[in-house]
Amino acid sequence: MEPIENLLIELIDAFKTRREDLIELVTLIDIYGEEIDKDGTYDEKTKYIATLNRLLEDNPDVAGEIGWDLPKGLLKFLSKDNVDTNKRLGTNMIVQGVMKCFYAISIYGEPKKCLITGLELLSAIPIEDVSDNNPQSKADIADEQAPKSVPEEANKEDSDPYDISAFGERKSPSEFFLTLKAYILFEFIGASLKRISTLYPSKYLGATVAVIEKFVYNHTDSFEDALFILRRVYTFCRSYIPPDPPKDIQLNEEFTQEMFDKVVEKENKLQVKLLRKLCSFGISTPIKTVNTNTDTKYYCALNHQKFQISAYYTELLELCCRFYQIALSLDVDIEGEFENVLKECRLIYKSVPKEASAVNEEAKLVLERMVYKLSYTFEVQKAAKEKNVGLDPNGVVLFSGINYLETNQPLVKKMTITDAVYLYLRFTTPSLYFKVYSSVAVESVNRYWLWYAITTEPLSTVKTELKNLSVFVTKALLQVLLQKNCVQVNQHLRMVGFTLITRLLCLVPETVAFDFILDVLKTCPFPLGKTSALCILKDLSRRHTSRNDNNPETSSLSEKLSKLEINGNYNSKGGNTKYYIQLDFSRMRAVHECCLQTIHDSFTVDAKKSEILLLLTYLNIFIVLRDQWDKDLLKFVYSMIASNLKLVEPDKFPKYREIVDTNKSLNAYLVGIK
Amino acid sequence: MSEFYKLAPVDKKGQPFPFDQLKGKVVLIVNVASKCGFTPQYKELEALYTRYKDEGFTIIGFPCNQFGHQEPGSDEEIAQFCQLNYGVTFPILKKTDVNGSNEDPVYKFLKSQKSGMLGLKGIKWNFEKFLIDKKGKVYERYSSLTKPSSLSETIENLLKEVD
Repeated sequence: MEPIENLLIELIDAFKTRREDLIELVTLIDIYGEEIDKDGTYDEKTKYIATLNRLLEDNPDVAGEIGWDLPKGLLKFLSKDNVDTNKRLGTNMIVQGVMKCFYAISIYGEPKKCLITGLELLSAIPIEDVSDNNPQSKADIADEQAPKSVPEEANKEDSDPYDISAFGERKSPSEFFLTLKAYILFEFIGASLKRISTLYPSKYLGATVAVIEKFVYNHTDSFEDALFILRRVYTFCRSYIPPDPPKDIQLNEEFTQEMFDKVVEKENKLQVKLLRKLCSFGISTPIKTVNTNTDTKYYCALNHQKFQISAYYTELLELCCRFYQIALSLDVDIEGEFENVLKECRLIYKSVPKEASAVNEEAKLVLERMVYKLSYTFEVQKAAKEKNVGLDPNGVVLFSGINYLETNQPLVKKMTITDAVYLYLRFTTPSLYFKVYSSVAVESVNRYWLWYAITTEPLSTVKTELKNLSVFVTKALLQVLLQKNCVQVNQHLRMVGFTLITRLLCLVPETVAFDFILDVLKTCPFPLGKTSALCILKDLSRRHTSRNDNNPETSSLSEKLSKLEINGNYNSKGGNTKYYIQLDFSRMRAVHECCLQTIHDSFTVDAKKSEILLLLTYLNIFIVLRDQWDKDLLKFVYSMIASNLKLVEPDKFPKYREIVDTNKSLNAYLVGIK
Repeated sequence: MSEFYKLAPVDKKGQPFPFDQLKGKVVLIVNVASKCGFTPQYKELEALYTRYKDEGFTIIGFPCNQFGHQEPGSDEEIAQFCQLNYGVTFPILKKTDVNGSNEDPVYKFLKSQKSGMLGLKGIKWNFEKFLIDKKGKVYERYSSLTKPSSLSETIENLLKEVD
């Protein structure tokens, strides 16, 4: 490489001598940039970028002509060779220099061309292939040469293009560079958009929204935390100022003032639609994998418990609230939009037949599968036919949850259990077919609405509605709730989820509840699901229905819930005791068959710990329910286990220790020792 | 009579603040917040108020926590903040909502009279301003970016108008 001093002289000279041939000038800048980035030291790169920045500022006319062509080359300097991702960004003069060049280009560059360049780069921005273990990178050397003082930067206004405080938290190298480049491009795009003079701003905003959506869609999974994307989209929506119409516009007979006003009005409406769409999409997509804890907050409120979340979630929910506020600023009728979503849900599920209309087992099976697929099919068809620029329904549902998080009030006062069930299935089942539809955040909101429906509507109404609901719909609801809850890693949230399932099983017709539990014991792929189903069975077959079930006063429910009494009592002394689930012989027999299968699975050579634990749960539940259970069946279970235990090899015996003890206890009860 | 004068929001103590007392005055209504980048506008607002109050001009502040939760304090804390930091003497009313289903009727009226950017009625951020003439008509709506001092000339012109 040429000495840097010579190269800089040539660069300065090129800005003077090549003004007439700007293509050559751009080519020279590209060549110099590539050469220095490849072979230059940190100081040399810093000097080069600083010189380029000064030249752009001193030659606004040249910057106006060639500025749009420089961003791609400038972004190349943001690499692992030049930036140590483990050190403060504010100390890196290459990053500072690149940002300043972008700022100069956004001020002097031709705005339409700059916008297009920015959009092209943002839509194609890759995840860098950067190893996390690169202790000897050039950046280490570069950083040693970097000045130790931190340049005075930013915190002036929200919209400061040089505010790099967002990079305080360290990310993985690949996420770091993606974040840094995207940050610069978002600012560049926003600044360019503001400077465009046009009568048709929706054209440029539409292109921008499309690219931002593509970026969000493509990179949501690339970011470890959702805050970055949320912040960028929020800042864009909040800072958007519509471009002014051209000042030299000629109003005449062919283009009158009235025609001009109409164009402006139409353009305004279009821009509002685009911003609303971006706002709803911009919140729903980045937090797809984040639990908003809306249902947990409601559950805590019911239990008079303090709702506590980590600092990260607090920050995230704060940002979500800002999206909600911006939606209000954009005149979004959130309540009306949510009502429309509910209408759409009714449309999807209202024609699902009740069980009676399904004549045979095969037809039932088809209907069961159909319920799962209805929403997915609807979603695909809707996407194919969609022509309007509407709000993202996921975003609307999230807004309904944020409304509660923000105000402690429900968005809509009345939520029937039917609507809540449809809402849950509508937004949860499509993910079973295509992962892209999965949203943990929306699921949390929809569970909140289920909770809300069963705790605010009179119980008699809830029960009647659930009774009238298609059994296929009810079954799908319970199955999906269980399945999702089984993969929940947080123990507290899992407990809240199982409490909801238990509560719903108290409210659905008894046959539906028992059939569901039996189905879980037979077919659920998650041992935790089976264990939970057994515990629920134990609970519901010991609790008798409350006399207050038909009482419209729901406050008593909240009280009971606060003491973790789901509803009803143990040990009724009344003669007409009605349990939530009555255990007759055929039901005991059915559970017994499931237990026998578990005994079989627990004593195979490669029996898993989870299977042995499930067997232990069966035994414990039989002990608790021994007075209700058929003694012969229990004796059979005891004998089966005892005989299997005799065959266990000595080295594997320790893992059956608890089974041995519990089986002995069961026998002791059976022979009347205890 | 203008609908504006039929409005009666509540002050920081929860007492009615009937707008009919504003008849014949030029009024600037601002949604304020204590922790916003625009909070220093209090200084210019107070300067405007001091300069024109004897000529029939007043400012009314509506604290609002809907934008970035930048007005989290109680009504008492807000009043204390304004007084201590900016020597505010114009009325600061009770904290309220300016957007959404719980929006204050004052804002419902103001927004219905003048739209903001892109024809939107919703308030975009803290320190948006509505200027009302002596007849209770909403004369203009200004964004947060508009510095209060830049309104002097308009206020003077409105004050000159005959009742």
